Amino acid sequence: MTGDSGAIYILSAAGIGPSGGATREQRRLLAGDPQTTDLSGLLKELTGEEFRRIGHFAQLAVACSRIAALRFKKPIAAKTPLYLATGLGEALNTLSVFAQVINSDDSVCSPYGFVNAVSSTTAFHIAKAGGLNGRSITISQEELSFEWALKLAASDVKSKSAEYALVGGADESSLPRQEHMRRIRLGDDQVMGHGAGFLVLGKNADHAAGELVDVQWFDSTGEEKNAWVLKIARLVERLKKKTDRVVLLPGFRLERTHIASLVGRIAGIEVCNYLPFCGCFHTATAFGIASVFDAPHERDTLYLHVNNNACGRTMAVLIRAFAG
Amino acid sequence: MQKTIKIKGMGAVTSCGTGLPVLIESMRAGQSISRSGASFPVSFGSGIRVNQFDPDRYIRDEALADAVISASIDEALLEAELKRGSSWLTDAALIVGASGMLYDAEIIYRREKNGASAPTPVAVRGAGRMATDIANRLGIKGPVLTVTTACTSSANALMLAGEMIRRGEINKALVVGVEVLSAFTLSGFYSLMLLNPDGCRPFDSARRGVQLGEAAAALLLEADFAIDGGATLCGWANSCDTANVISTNIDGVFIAKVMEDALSSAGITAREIVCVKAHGTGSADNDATEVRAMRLLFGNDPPPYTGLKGYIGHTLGAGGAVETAALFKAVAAGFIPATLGFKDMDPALGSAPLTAPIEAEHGHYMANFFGFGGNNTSIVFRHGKV
Repeated sequence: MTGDSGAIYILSAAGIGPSGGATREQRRLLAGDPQTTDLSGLLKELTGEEFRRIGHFAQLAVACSRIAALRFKKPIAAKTPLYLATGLGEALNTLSVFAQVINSDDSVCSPYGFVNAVSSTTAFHIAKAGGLNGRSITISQEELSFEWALKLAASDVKSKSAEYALVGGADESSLPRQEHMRRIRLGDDQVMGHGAGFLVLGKNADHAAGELVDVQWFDSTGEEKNAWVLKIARLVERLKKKTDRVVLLPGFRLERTHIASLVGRIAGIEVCNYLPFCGCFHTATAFGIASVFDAPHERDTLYLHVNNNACGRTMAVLIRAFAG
Repeated sequence: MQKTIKIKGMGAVTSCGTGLPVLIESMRAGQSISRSGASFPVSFGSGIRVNQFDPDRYIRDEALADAVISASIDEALLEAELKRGSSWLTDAALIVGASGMLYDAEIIYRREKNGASAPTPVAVRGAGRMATDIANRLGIKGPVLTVTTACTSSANALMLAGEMIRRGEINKALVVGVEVLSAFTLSGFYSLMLLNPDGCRPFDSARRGVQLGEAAAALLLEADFAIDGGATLCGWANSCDTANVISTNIDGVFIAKVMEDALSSAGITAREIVCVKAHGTGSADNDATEVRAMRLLFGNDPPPYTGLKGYIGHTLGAGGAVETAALFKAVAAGFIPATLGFKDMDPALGSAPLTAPIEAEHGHYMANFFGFGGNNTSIVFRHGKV
């Protein structure tokens, strides 16, 4: 995704963490399990509409997508493709409907509850709020959901099948904590989180906040185990410019030894941990990458986001935030 | 020479049995294997018809999805003269389409409900995890991703696989669609009053709703430069109609546009379509919308169209993969299946699907898949030399 003809620009970005805010000033370090913040007021402000029946996951996704689109300051064509990533989707609502079905005598659920639990519903609300009617794809690939959504969205723009693409990820947390953490294969000692992140991608560099440099996947099973660290280090060396500051954004599944290996192999790389602001959730990558653009950069900065999944696959996202 | 996307192998497990040959024979004979009520507890169970996997062959436990997916993949590999562990699979991408994986959570929950420890609601293993498990079992080293767009999930998985091959990002892909029914899903459709107690009757004057089914299907796609007369994936389109979250705009304009976009992607005109495999759920509004859309696209001289849900039910997330495989195997066997469940033409539609099998011609076929969330997908395939 590099080079003049293939450049994919990040035209705007927005991240919403557990605090419910989408600006740097509104970011809060998590002091414990995040509370579910009602975003209906924010949604009304952003869209002028009441979203009475949607759950917290959909609120996060719709609000964040609108903020990203509004920050772009240009109208996005209706046919713009939408890629939504999520690990668990409507976790809270699904739990509620599940309980209605399995524990009641008549095993009949609320129609609205069911519709909200359907995997394509949140993308529908995002599209409707944004006036979109193009491609709408929801990707659910655990910890790598956003990475795949980003790769697919970038391919649409790169192949010129779309001028822009709206891509984001969102997940919510649920209680009891132990069950939620088990669902995402995390220990009880790790930080539970939720949030969302959205990017508007495009081919035109005007007013771009940055560029998507590459999205690569690596097999880290079997014989390839740990070879990905070396491959990623080589990739960074190849793609970084002399003037770039280089920053590693570790995903929540990345082990300390891997972080140390990457730092040891990539000269001058700094580490920036965004997870204390959002906690661990499947699409935390979306929040982490979007929040890079919370503040202006003094110099061009190449961000490397790396995450593993629990089954031995790794994905790296390289973005460059432009100075200014 | 232009690159084509060859469908190298196909396999499926449906209510008709294991393997595509049994499904093809059911379609040739105009038979369906559905049952009254589900094989798991739902209070309204006796009032609905469902298409479920053969209970004598497939035990309803948390390994059910793995069993039917494995059987589908093995059949597809056999057709392609490949084996598990072959380099073809190692290098392939795996793209799964599934609408949700709550059946195993229900099984575990019911089993643990009366036990000593409190049961855990909702699956630990979602569709994404299932895809990773399949990839690890098969030694797939390529990209692994899961599309969850309700009833269009595996149609969109086919579309993304085709697109990635066309763009040169991958050379081969295993596409899997799977749907295992759960009380959660049945309850949802029941609460929305979308189930027809008498079963699926696509486009019929007495259609009252859908009949849900479960299925798994696997398709092996490969970039190819040879035109050898097999099945190829030619074009696709997907869009989001925000008119209504559970149905598309009834004027048919939106559906017509997605079908037109699929033709454009395939580089052909509407006149080149031999037959349309309609989505044809049997619901009043959706079937009417689809007929209107076909009329808008094809005008007064539409190609024949058929619906396959009378044979296997509406298999939701698996529908794209299983109906594509079913259509192509039937066409390869020389016929286009009739629309099982259709009896009388609806005067309001003024149109009837195929009521008897017809001989299949070489040419382009269109397959429509529409889903909740306004998600609409149309795919164009080619059978034989054109």
